[in-house]
Amino acid sequence: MIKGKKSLTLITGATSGIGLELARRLINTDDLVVIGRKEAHEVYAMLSDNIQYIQTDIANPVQAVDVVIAGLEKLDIQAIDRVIHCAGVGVYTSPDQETSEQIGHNVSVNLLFPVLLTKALASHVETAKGKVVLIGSVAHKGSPNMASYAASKAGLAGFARSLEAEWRDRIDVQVIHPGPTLTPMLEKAGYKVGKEGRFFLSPEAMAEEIIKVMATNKKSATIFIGAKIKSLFRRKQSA
Amino acid sequence: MKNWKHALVTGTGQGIGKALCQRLLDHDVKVTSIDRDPIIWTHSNQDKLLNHIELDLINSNSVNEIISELSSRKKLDLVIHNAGISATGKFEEIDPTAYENVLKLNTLFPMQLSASLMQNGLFAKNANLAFVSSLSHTTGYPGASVYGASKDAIAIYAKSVRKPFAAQGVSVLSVFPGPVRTDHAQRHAPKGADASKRMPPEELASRILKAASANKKVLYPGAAAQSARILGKIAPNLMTNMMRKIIYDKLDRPVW
Ligand SMILES: NC(=O)c1ccc[n+]([C@@H]2O[C@H](COP(=O)([O-])OP(=O)(O)OC[C@H]3O[C@@H](n4cnc5c(N)ncnc54)[C@H](OP(=O)(O)O)[C@@H]3O)[C@@H](O)[C@H]2O)c1
Repeated sequence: MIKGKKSLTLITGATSGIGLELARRLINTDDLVVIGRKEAHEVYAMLSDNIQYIQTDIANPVQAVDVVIAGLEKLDIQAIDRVIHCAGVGVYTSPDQETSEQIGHNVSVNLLFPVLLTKALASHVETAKGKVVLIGSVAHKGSPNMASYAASKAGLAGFARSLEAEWRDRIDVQVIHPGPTLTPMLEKAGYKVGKEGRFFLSPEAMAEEIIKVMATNKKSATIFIGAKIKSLFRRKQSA
Repeated sequence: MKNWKHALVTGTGQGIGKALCQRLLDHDVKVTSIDRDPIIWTHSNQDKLLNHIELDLINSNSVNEIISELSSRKKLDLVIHNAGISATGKFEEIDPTAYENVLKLNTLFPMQLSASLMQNGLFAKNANLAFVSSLSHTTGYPGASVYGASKDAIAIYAKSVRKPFAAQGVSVLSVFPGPVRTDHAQRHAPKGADASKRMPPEELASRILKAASANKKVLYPGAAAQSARILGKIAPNLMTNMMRKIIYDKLDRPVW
């Protein structure tokens, strides 16, 4: 671990999009443990050599949790100040076209893995009197073209709501719902950005807002239009 | 009751699923029932109209098995996703496999089967599709955070598919029952909880079939469920704190 740095953050999904921008910012203040499926050298290249990396595919949640726990043991980490669940996948299609594989993949990555990892890391986070941050989506209220994705995010939001009440005074739980953001996820999901893209946030702006929300003790927050207006305003000012 | 010809109901061994099957058989509806256990109850129409499939829906191949079984039969005009399990206790004390099973049975399976039935054209015209969520959708559920999550997820799936499925002639109903007088509720309730306040499964079954017959979108069965719905909307935090006091603080044992 690097001396002089205060807190330890473990983050998933930090190899692309919002999570990558979050990690790039957190690197200045935190020691980072990144969980991802990409090759280590790629991750060091996009972030820094000064991070710890545990490679695993979280689409196999049970095995992935074992890999993370073994990795933390090897690194001799017993206390974690913040766990950020940012990895996520989705498919943009009509619900009668969603295949069982796609539905299963969404549930494994977006819901089952965060649940199992939160359980496995409970004592690490409690030791540090830390916090669990779950990245949801505005889709958690329902979305006809991302039905199983919306369901998985609703599950995540409900999980956060109940666990927050259960762990009150012990471990903080926060869920943050980003609005549409211009990340590689859109293309991976099969979504073609049209004119509405003007209203989407950049991953950089989204990450800035998430960092601000993480510093508060809000149980749940949505980052959407307000943040977009702010970011447009900032651009005008600097222009 | 609507003049259904062929219904599919999951979780039919006991409780709400059994009551649903019996009501449908009373009305001469052909029923394909699915449960991991054999059927031990009896009904006068059962030999003629009941086709029971003994299958553990947690198995990853269960959807395919059901689809292939159904392809040789009459199309479905009623599907009720009723099968569900819970896991109650302190979050850290419950076995991770139980969480996996809760999410697989309560969330994953109903989504996969519904989408597959659509893809394979197994719904008849003007069909009804019902998802049994839970009244916990209106509140946080400390002591059952993963069960709560699984029921929130399926509620939002139902909401998401309502319009696109309606465009294909399938009317989607979401059901949010409060406590029902079943073995399931008994097993997971804190010690000393008053069972007489729970709705009998036969009453819930009738209400579900009535709501589906009328192509209703949502059903909060009974006055208590309706008050909880309103309270959950106007005072969600108060409601979650109440749940913590009346359930979580009294849980004496983990159950899954
Ligand atoms: N973009 C939006 O409009 C939007 C809106 C609301 C919420 N969100 C949520 O925000 C979060 C970040 O999304 P994003 O837009 O930044 O998406 P993204 O650019 O596609 O990044 C997703 C991240 O998750 C990781 N991941 C996915 N599947 C994985 C697996 N099986 N094993 C390990 N890691 C895996 C990816 O790793 P790889 O780099 O290896 O692919 C990547 O680091 C997600 O939870 C998403 O649901 C996004």
